[in-house]
Amino acid sequence: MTKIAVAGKGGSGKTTVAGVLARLVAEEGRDVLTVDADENPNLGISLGLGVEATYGLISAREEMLPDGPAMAMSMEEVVERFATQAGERLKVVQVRKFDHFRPG
Amino acid sequence: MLASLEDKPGRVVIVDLGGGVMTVARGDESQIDVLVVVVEPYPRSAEVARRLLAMAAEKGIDRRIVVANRIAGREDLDAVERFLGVAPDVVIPDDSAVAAADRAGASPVDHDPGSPAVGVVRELASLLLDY
Repeated sequence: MTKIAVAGKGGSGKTTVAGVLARLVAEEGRDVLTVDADENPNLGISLGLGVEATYGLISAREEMLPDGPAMAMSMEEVVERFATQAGERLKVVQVRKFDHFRPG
Repeated sequence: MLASLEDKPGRVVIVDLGGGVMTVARGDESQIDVLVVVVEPYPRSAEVARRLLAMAAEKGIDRRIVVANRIAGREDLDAVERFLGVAPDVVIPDDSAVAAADRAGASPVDHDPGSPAVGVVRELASLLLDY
């Protein structure tokens, strides 16, 4: 398994690079899991999901908090539950966006 | 999170980190095989890139790839090298097809698969995964 992180100043184009890279790698026949770790997630657009589908994705973040409801699940199970198929060999999971806001 | 994923042979995990340095600063280096740092030809972008590269080196992330983005010509490339102190590994041109895809809410791969920027990211894929 190869784990690649894409970083840079906000607005540098890293999300576009990450998304296009993921699409091209999947088209080469590799199984690709993309993780959108941005608090304002847009990776789905660069993957080709479209604007509406991207902003409709449910984040896995709250499941991953110490008091989250799914602590009994393995990370693989969390990914399976929250990842969306973005192509034949391509999945995306959001992990930082909060869908519900609470104090603390 | 990455450390808890199954080590499936052939699987590629690509993480789009939040902008800036904090996710790398707080992250566990053992979870990443390669850090790709995207930089534009401006001092503010290069400063973030410089800090990311330094942080990654300190954390023992041995594979670090510098991608210069939106490079319009020699002046831009020289600016990246001057601000960052190293030559980029990959140079993505300032490609209007990328902005057009953005406006359409589409991936550049779908909007204009033959565009120069997509072509360069294809080279990046080969570089990262030794095709």
